[in-house]
Amino acid sequence: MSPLEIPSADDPRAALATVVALRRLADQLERAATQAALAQGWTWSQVAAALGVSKQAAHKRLAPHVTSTGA
Amino acid sequence: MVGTLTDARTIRALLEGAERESAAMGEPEPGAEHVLISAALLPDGTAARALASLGLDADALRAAVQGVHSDALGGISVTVPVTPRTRGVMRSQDSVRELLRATARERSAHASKRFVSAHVLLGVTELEGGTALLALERLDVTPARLRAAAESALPVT
Repeated sequence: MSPLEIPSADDPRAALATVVALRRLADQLERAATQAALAQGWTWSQVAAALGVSKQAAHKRLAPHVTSTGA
Repeated sequence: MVGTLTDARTIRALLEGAERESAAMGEPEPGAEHVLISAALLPDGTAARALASLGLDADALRAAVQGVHSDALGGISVTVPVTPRTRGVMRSQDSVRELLRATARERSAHASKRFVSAHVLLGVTELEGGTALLALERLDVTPARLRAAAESALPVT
């Protein structure tokens, strides 16, 4: 993985574009990792704990985006 | 913006297409950039014609959108499985609502009898920022160039 250079706040357009891209990346990784976790037998409680959110919040946010649903 | 049943169908096709585009990119909700790509694929062909006059098509727009994010991250990316369609009410980002409002204003300003995909391109030129504009900039398309191309492609009323 190449080192990431964060644009400085002096270039707000680039910095904010990076924020958008990072959020998008984080969302994609969250869904991919949740999908993999459930496939490996993790429960929603365990996924939620790893994300630092409640089970309800994790399920509401992620359940529509995974093809397998855990316990 | 919804003046007739045909308009409602066109808008629905526009938004469903945007959902497909965002899902294909592994994103849960469409943004204005996905609505832009969807407009390029609508069957009335006015947006497609306008974009073709600029040497662009849906594929070029898709690549540019991915490029905007990739550039911002210095090349980091993650491969994700294609997300299934979201259940329930169609959700979208604020940028989509903003684009639809701008598109409605443009349509009124041009006193068009029906809503066509080129109106979406005009709406995009009113956006103040975001991924759609960055993608077009990446393709050397300024809002002024896009406006001129879209207005040329509008049906004669």
